[in-house]
Amino acid sequence: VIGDSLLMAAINWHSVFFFLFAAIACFFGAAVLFSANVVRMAFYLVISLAATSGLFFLAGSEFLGAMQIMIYVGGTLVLLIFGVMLTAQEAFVNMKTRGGEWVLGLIVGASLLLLLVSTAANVRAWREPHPELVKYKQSVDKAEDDARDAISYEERQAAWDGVHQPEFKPHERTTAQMGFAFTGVRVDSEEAANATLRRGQSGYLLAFQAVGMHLLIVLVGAAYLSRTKRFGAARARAVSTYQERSRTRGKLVSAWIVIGIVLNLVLAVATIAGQASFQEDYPELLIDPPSWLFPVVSLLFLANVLLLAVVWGWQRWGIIALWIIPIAQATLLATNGLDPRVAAGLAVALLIPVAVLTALVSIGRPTAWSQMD
Amino acid sequence: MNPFTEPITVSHYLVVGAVLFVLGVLCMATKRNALGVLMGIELVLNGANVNFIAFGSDYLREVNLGIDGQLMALFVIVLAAAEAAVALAIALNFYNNHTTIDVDQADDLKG
Repeated sequence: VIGDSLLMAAINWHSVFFFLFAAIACFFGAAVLFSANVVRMAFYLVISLAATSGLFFLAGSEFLGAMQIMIYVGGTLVLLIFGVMLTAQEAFVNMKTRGGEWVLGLIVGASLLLLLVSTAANVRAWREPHPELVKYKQSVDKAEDDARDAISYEERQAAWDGVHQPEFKPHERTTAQMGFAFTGVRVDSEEAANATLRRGQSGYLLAFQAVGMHLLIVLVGAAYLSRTKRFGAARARAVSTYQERSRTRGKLVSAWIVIGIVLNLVLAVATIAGQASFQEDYPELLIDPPSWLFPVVSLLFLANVLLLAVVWGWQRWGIIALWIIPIAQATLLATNGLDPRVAAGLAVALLIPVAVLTALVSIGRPTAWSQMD
Repeated sequence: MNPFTEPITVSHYLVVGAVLFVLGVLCMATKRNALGVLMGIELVLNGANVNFIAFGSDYLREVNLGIDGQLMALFVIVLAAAEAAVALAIALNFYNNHTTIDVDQADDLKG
């Protein structure tokens, strides 16, 4: 019978809730990163931190889960939102990150993530579940098989009754144990087998005192640092100079970028369309090119279009990338069967318009180049 | 293999911690708003806390850190709160003096 409530018994609800909370925490963590509005970022951070406290509860740290919500969500976040309120100016609420920084940041972040995740997933001691949970899983699998073969309801019930109930180390009063540890008594390890270790575990009294002093000094310091001062006129002047400056682009530059976009689109299409006739007319110039060659060159022309759009959006790295692409195209063609002299000629022919663009952004007053990010 | 029927391991928690850590680092690196950088730091510390909790959990490994893991995480939370207070005070002070919280404008010490 499908829709049997017993089928649900095979689901490990601990895992389901783990994935739920983990997904919420990571998704809203990413939302903090990709949002440009400070107020929204603070709100996404609240959700991410609250979901993390759910993970703490699932791992059996009730006290920490509660502290996470009270201190982080209730305290730190309110502090941050006060910060937003005290510094709120139109120009600062929405602060965009530059395109080039995104590219660089995402590359660095992806490699760091790859490194960390591959480490976390490849240590055997961390990858193996608790032995009791392994036993539980095996008995559930067995009960599932038995229940499938069972004829009567009673037999099925009996199969599920045989499921191994996982037994963990007695997990009680961890909060009280933590409180004792702060006062210097480790009640959780009084029965440690090793007598020397037992004596050495003297708790966290010193650290507790140090943190207490630290908090006191921090609060005094914070109050001292953030005392108000008034600079009425100076502030207004500085804010007005900070406001998004208006940028002017010469007509020639604008026209050249538009021409470049059109030309590159034409070239991208022509590369694909003219492939067959070129190979027919000049078989000696291009010796058995791989099938991906022309589509890739065409795609690079399309990349040029994107880069021109980037230059239009006042990004300097667009111009630098525009210099690199023709060289890449020529190198690709030369290494895949095109006569090197033809490739060199092509590179020069494609670089001349880029050089003209570079020259155009460097003339005029103020130059377009100096206004770019 | 149905992930919903498999038990959770320390690795699962470490992956979540790694994701939060990387998101926080990227936040610190790319945000121009000083408050955004602060939020990135909170995310990084939170990622570290997830790891502490995972290694201290009785339900994930038989041999674990026990309450030491939780105590460390508690210290991290307390220090994060203190750090947020000071960093916010610095941001406010910077705002008072420079009338901006764009960290790119904080180049007075540039040689």
